[in-house]
Amino acid sequence: MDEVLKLERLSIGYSLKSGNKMVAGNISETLKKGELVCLLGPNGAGKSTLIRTISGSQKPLDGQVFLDGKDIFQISSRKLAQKLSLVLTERVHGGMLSSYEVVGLGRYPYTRWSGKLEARDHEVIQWAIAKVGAEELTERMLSELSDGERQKIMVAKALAQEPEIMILDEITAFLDLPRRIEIMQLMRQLAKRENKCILMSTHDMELALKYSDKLWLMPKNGELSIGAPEDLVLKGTFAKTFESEGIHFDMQKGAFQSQEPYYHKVALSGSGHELLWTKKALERARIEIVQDAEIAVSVLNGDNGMFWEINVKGKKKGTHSIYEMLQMINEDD
Amino acid sequence: METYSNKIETPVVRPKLPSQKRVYLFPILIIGILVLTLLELGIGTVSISINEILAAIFNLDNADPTHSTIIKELRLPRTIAAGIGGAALGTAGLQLQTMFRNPLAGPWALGLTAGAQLGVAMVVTAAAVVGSSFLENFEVLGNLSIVAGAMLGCFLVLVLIAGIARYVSTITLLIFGLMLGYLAQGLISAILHFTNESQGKIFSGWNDGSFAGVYWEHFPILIPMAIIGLISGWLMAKPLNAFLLGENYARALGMSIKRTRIITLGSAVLLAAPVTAYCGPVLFLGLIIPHLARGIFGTSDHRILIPAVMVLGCLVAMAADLFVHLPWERHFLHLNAVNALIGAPVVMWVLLRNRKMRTFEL
Repeated sequence: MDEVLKLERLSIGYSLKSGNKMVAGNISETLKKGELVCLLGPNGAGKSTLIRTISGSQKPLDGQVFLDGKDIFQISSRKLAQKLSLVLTERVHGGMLSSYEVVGLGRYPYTRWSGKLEARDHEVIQWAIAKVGAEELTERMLSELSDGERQKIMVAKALAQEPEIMILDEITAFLDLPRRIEIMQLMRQLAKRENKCILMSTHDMELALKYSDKLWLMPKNGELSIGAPEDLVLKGTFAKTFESEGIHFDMQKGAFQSQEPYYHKVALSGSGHELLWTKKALERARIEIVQDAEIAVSVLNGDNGMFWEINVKGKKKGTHSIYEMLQMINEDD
Repeated sequence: METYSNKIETPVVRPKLPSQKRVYLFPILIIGILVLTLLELGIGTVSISINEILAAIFNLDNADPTHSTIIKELRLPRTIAAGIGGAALGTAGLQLQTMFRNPLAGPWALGLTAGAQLGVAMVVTAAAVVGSSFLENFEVLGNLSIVAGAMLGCFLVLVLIAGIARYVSTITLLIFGLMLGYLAQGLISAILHFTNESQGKIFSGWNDGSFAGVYWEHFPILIPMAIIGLISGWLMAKPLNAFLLGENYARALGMSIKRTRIITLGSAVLLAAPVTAYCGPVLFLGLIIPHLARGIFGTSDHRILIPAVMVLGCLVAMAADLFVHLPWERHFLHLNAVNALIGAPVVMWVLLRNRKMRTFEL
């Protein structure tokens, strides 16, 4: 059976003295092997509470979480760590432990009291290190690594636990864009090639749309919507979730759009890559592209390379760069 | 069972870890301890040669009776006390540093020593008030009650520290520990007001901290406690390693935080309290020995570090003790003065090197 984790009428939140504070209620859902699921939602919607509940470290208000058919809160912590592994946002210092030793700690639920690693443990560790592409980092101290390298090692540590499901809580929060894309691609590979079940909470809406098999959208009202990214886009749930945050989702372009007003209107002509990137530049500068306008921009690719010609009411100007082209349009006020 | 090696596209070289590279240091350190033991036994106001030391220890016929007494009744217990004390304080320091994730933690810095001092002061005063003079006589009962007082004081401080550690930052915890120390000192002065003069004198002598006040009759209590503390400390090496990743990761690896905390901190009390009860407050050793061990062995792996702090603690405490009882013309050096001379620079170095500690701001 491919089903790994099953949530049944799960209500999450906190028990306070004044009563229960529910964050989200009545969640019924399953997580399967080979799937990358992204949990998306604005800050304060309760993503972390959901993650803590699903990973068995916080009791739900109601309902149950089943891991391989067993209630997750009935599984011993050692057995749980063999099936479910976590990677967290927090920066780990790790003292004077080398990366290899840190990945080795992933064998914690398998080793005996002394923590001695056997030959098979070393095989798993080396496999995990190779999977995340951290072969070069093994001898270095964890504390010397960059944020991105360190998170890779923590992913390798989670893999070394040989889990069925990996739960990742905003692990890309400190990373730059290339590193975030790299981690996303890695997660996808682990889901597809290693047949792991991966649940990952993130703030990267566009990356989540692009890479995940399934999205869990968690708006502030606690009504979780679940589906393929495209399903949620077409139903309008995606746009609605973030509308309240002041971000507009453009269904045409499949991306988030600025709601800043347009400053100018131009008519654009041209072809190829040059046209595409000129459009992007105009969009960024909040210049609307219309059929007919006082300013006409033509993208030409002549013998002297790329050239932009600007025609303002018959007066012609030209430039070889998009930067100057935009300046010319803006100067025209 | 599936094998992983054939799944790896690029072979990963299993690195030779610094800890494995440096295990040869253990025999060297142990030889160092043996040499220091001979020096401790031989050097003092009376110099005694190696032959005489061996003769005294093995009860040979040619042993000089005076020298034999000096060795057996004074220097040998003192040397053993220094060795056990250093190993115990070093291990307790390492446990506290890892548990509180604080490089400057130690039995003294967190106020555990002061708690033990306060406990001993209360026992001494109670004894004086009740009229029994067990501290003077050092009967088994007095012996035990002092350790019990030290352990209680130590334990209470630790509970307090563990309670606030979750809510405050690293530096705040240290300042809190220091203030607890001052508070205990104040209370001790106030309490000692109620004791008699001879008890007070004994207390202030003890309060200077020295391995010289330990005699054979103390070992039946000191040694078993130290052994239990050291063994339980060693058994917790694996969870302590996981603790280096922080509490959340440690829990996610299947470790019971509560159990680890109780055993480790219990072990720290078992190590720090009896040493303080018999040797008085010994400053700095618990704090600096773990740093020396990490520096020398180049690792944070507790499976190496715990035996390392034991042998290094032994070595450093013996060396400090030897320095104190070198045949100085005037007796002016106290153990804690020597400890401060080695310890304070280490603390300053840790403060400057550690980014998190350096940038502490109000």
